[in-house]
Amino acid sequence: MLVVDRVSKSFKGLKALDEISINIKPGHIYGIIGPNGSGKTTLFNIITGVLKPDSGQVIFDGRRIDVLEPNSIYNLGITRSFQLPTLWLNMSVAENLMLPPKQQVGENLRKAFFKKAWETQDMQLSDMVWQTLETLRLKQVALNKSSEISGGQMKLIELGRTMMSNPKLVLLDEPTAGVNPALALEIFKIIKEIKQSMGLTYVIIEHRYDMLFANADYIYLLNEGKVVSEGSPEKVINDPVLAEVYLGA
Amino acid sequence: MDFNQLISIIVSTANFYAIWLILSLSLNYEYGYTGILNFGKVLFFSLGAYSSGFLAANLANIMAGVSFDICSVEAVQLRLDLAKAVPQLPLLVFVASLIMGAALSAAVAYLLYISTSRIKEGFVLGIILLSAGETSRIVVRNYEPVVCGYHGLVGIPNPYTAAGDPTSASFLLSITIWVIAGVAFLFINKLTATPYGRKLKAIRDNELAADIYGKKPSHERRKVLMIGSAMAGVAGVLYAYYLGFVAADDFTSLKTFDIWVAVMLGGVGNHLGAVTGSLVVTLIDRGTRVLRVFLANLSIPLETLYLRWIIVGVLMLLILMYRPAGIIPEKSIKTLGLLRIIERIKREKT
Amino acid sequence: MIEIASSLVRALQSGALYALMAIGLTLTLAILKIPNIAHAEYVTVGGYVSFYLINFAGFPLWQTVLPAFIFSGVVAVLSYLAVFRPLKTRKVSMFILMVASFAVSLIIRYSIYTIVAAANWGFGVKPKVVTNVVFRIAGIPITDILLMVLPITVVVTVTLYLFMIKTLQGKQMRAVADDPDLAVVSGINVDNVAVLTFFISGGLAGLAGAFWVVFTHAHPDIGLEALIRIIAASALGGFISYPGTLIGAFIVTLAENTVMDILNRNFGLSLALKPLMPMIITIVILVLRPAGITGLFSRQPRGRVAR
Repeated sequence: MLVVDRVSKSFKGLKALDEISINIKPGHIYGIIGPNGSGKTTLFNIITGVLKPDSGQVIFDGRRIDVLEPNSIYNLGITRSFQLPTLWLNMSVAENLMLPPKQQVGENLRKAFFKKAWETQDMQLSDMVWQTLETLRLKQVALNKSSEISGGQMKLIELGRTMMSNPKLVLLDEPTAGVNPALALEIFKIIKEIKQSMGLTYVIIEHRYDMLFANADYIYLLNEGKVVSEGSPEKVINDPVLAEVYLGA
Repeated sequence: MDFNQLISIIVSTANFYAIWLILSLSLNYEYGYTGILNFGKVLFFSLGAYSSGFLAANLANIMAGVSFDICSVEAVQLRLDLAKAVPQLPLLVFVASLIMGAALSAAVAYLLYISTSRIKEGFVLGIILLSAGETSRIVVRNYEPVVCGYHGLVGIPNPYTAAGDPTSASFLLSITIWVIAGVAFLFINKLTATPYGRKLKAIRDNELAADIYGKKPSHERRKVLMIGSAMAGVAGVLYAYYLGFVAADDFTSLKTFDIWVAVMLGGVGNHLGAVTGSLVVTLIDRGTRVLRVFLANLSIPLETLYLRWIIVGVLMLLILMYRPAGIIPEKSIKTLGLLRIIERIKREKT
Repeated sequence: MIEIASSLVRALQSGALYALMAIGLTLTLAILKIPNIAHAEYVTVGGYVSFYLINFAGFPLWQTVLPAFIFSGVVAVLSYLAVFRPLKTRKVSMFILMVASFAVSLIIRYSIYTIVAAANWGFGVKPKVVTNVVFRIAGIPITDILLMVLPITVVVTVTLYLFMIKTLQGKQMRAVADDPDLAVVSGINVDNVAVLTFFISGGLAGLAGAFWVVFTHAHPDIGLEALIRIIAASALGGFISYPGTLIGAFIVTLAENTVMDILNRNFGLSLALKPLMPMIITIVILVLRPAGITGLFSRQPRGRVAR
């Protein structure tokens, strides 16, 4: 489904990604772990088109996407969340959730004038938003400005936006950072539910290894821009490289 | 002050207000909704005005089959005579000016936008637009073929010369200006109270997130700048026809600043804010001119025209520091879908 | 040929002054991320200081340079302390800072208007400076003002460059330019850096203004009229490069004067179109090389960088 093929990226001479290759197959949850600066977020930025790789290529469903703009990649079916919430801060929570769905007729400059053309679709969207709000337990803040809610709730909206975008592949950048443990568990439960019901594929960067290892099917361990270990959670957890990477031994 | 004088002051203030309103609405659409730092509003405004002067002067020459210097006394006389002889002509030229003003402004906006489109920092476009506005003013002031350089071009005939007497002609023009301003208000309102408006606000609030969620920031911004500039061009045509003359020095970046004050004062991302803000700015502008005459009569040596800009500048800083949301803060765009969510939440609470 | 050569010399002279004016704009942008339009007004302030000292206190031109530097520097620092610092503590966007700088520029310009009107100095008066031709090289007149402007520009720019490279303050400035958050963490007082940056920027603009007023006339709009060239020079440096801005200033003046002179002489192009030149060059550079003509200080990629 998604193939990252020998991608390299450096900043100011510092190698963030070093000929990294990963292979994502549909219908699984993938976990990406690694210490800070190991290139996890850079990898997401390359896949979603925010950054262009220095070399190598990214292929999604047989199409080369590393040359595309982020908005085209989104329309092919890849959506992502951000580690630091990147919300539309002057808009309400509900509006933040109404924005992601693709092909909104009312977003077209010419068709916007004709209310009839987009009203029904907008109503359907509101039903979807309502469901998402219910799932994420955000109803009580639905009309608040998204700058006026807690950090944990912001992370939930990040997740909610990916739920609203009807994707094939979801990249989550630390979905539970800054969220209390009970809610974090809940988030993973939600992710699993969505995965089952909609048949999505997830790639998750996460620091809560216990939860990630309990839920992921396959783990990539990154260090210094390279994959140093990969495989089932059991395999990676028992790999001596893991201790090496984290303890710097 | 007699009654007629009062009426004429009110009518002229209303005319200026209507023109300022179109400009403020367009800037609010560009900055308030889409986050385009348009510091060249006056450029597009002036392009509309130049189009009017240029067309009126050159079409008159062509119609009469002469090649007078458009700035000469003969040419001015010719324009006015021609308007009397063929009373429908000025209206046609007026309509042509509206089209040319809008199209020229949109085209220049397109060129300036794409020239900076490789640069992601939004302030660069702002600086380039500001610089383009000043450049065009300085060039047109010195380059006579456009609108007679420093002296300006006089004798743009009233489009309603066919109405007969000047009073009803100018009244008809005023009504035209108000109607166009009203249409601009309805147009912008209808356009932005939609998912489209919501998308623009997403681009404004966080371009990266908008791009990641499939909106096309650069593409949309370009279109918005072109539409906003076309509106400013139309405002410029109305301004030129209302005053009956065009001079480059009328179009300094001070005009741009006035429009910015109107938008920031009224409230960003909110058309009622633009309506309110531009009213305040028009009143300040007209008021200081009246006050100036008044003070001169009392022989008080205070130059209100200078003082006005200091006051407006300080006003702007106070808004930015203490009331960044403006008089009327921004509200959510209540599309039907959002209204339904609001309703459901109300129902759950009771 | 002599005409073109002396036009070149004139371009060199105004290029030096535009360079001094534009450096400040680039510095405030690169270091503090403030697109300060009011920068042009510091030129006017310096011009008026020089004009006043020459016409009303009998100073010779060279003695007005330092007062103009200090006075404009102080005005710049005041605009930082009164406007930009309070706004920065409110964490406003770069856009709002630019809008604010627009307001600051009007406040300064119209304060000068008010003062000039109240003091009856008259608008557009020439400073009482006699320009002498000291000698001629192959028939090209070299004036005493040129002999003042060029060495001062060279000394000032080289000193500033060394200051940025060698001294602790200079290194701190560059650290803030690279990453303000990191600079704070490493114990740099960003506020002091900002004050210093504004003082130097404003001072250089004022210094340039002191000479500029002699070439033009004393008018509150002289800064505004220089603005399009300042912006063009800074844009040629990608708004971040110090040497790029310097070179940019000379390219802009060369194009505006010498190239236009040649076009005028050979193709009859109206000289009224001169001011179009800086704009055209800016746009061409932005299209061809968005990062400016030099990549010397611009190691950072100019693209979207997500965290």
